[in-house]
Amino acid sequence: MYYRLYNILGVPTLSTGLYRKGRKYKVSKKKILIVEDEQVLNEAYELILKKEGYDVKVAYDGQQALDIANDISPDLILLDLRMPRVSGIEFLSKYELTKKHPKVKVIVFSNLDTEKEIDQAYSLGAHKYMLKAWASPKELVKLVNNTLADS
Amino acid sequence: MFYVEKWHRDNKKELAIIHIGPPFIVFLAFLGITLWSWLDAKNSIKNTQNEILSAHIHETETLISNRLTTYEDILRAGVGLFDSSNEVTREEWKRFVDILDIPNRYPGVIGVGYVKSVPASQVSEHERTYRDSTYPNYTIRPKTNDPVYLSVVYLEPRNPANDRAIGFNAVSEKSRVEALNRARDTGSTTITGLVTLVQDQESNGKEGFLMFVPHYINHTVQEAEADRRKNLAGFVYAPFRSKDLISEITTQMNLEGYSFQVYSGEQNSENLLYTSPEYNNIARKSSKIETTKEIMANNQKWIIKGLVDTSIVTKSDNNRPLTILWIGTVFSLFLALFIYMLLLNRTRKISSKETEDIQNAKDELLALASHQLRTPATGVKQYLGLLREGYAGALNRDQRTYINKAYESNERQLNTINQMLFVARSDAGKIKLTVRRMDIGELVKDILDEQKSMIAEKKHKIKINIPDHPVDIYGDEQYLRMALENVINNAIKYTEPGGKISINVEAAGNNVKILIEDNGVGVNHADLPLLFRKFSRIPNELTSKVAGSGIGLYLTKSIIQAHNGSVSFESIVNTGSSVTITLPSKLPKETGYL
Repeated sequence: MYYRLYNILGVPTLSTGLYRKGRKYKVSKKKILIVEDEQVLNEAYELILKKEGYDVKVAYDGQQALDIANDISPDLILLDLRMPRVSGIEFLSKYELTKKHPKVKVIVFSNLDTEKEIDQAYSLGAHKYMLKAWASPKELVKLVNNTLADS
Repeated sequence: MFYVEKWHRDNKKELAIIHIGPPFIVFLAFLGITLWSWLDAKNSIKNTQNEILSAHIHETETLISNRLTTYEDILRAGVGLFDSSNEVTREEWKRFVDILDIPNRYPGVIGVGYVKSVPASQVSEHERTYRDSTYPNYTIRPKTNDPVYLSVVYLEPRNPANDRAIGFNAVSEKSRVEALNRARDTGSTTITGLVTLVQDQESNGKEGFLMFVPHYINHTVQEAEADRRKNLAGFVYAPFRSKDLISEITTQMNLEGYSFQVYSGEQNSENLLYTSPEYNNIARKSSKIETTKEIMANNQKWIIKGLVDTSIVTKSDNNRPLTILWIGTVFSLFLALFIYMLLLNRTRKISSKETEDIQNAKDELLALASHQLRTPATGVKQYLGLLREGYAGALNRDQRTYINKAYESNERQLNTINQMLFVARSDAGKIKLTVRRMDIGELVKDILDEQKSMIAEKKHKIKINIPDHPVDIYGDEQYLRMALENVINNAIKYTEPGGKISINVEAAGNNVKILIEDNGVGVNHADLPLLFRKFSRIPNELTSKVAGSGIGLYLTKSIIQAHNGSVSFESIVNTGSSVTITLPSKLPKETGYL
């Protein structure tokens, strides 16, 4: 929240820990939350997107994702669907994307491509639905860049 | 902005399960009930008809026997008169009969008279005694050889016909004698069979009968037959014309649809006493029933034969059995049909529910399997991708080659999973297109970029002609990528190294045309029909060297058609192939089918 305020006003505000933490980052750095239970993939995505200069946070399930998302207000969430505890779909409905976080973009990034999941994801406000298996590192970067560039 | 079009092919086969059994049984059961009701109704009508007939006959009988009883009473009164005095004169008898007022009160009676028993030995004396001013020529006639004559001495009221009977010797005629003897011996009133009345002798027909009540001397009731014979004095009697009598008796009857005959003694034309007016008309009809009844009319057997015309007596009910049969049959049919429809509908529902359940389970399994197969391959792709794209530093040529081969191999696996899944889903009619506005030129460039290493490896010359501005269409990017990838990949694969491939994207009116040409191995004209078939691979020089599942073009065609587009293929063996894909650039109103 402080980071957001800082972002909007363009000036440093209160000298809290969070504020100081926010100062460490370049203002232009977009925040991306990777939600992926498969560790191998999670690590790969983190590596690729960090290298691209994004501020990357990772979560390994929907619950973790909710905690972090509420905390840092990411610009983009790369969301897997099939996860332990809280699934991607449950995350979307609990996060109340359209109501409370209209500016956050969510790319559903899953290897599930059934009608049911696609319908649910879009109706809960997801911006894109992509098959994980489709994206090479390069394509992932392109996808993220393009999505963030969309207004 | 995105558009989601549901596109669902309903390929559920029409259920052809015919549930003919239960409705058939119901039909038979109700038909049985109908037939039973029909027979029952028919029977009940028959019973009604029989009842009507017996009622009519009973009425006829009652009327006749009541009237005969009345006449018997008159005759008995006459016997009383004789019994109560020593001698009844002709004048006294006349007065007695006058008082009865026969023509008005007892129609049908010709007269009331007395037959006197005269021993043959006393005939002359008797004749003299009974000759008076009224009958000066009184003579018993005809004379017979019998020991006793029975002569009509009185018969009132007087008229020329009745006068002819005076002096008639009843012993001379067989059926009269028979009846007189019976009356004498039993002491009861007796009726003769059919006789020719003396009054009617001119007409020569047997049209009458006589009723006799015996009169004994000594004013006593004779117990023994011998006494009766010995003490017989005479008979009070009355002659009747049977036709006139019975017709008069039954005038008040309701004769609608009913007719009857009365016989005296056995039932033959000789003995016919009376035939009611409509008898012959009804007897001619097929819709009649008849029955006979024997009655005892004063010691004489009479037979009443009755007829009813069933088309009249049960007029209002006659159609009922047929109506029941019709309505019942039609109702049974309708009921059976209704049950049949009900069963069919229910079975359809159940089986469509079952099919849906099975389909859902299959989909779930398919989704899970593809997810589980994809995930590890995705990991491989990411890390090979990292290496390939230099995330871990520059690679030497061999390293690059090996990693590329591993990457391609992994890609093929992913592709195969996608294709299998796609075919399974499209066969089940369960493909969902996520249609959005997209730049098809960009997509083609992207695909070519992907294939760069393979193109380079085969040293193909690629000529690309894509407009600088976006070429927008509405489509599902993932599926269109799959479709175009297949065609471009084929061009690369099925062209000998150093071939020429040209790719052309252009907007043409409401369509976008994508032309992919090569100078590769081509396809035989005869093999063209196989081209877009599922899992068919056409053998050519390169088939063995090129990996493929044989599903690519089938998929391409399905996807393009689902976008309301079309694919055309031209080829000359060993010269080259050209594939033209046409896609509408406007938002499709309806998605197509696979």
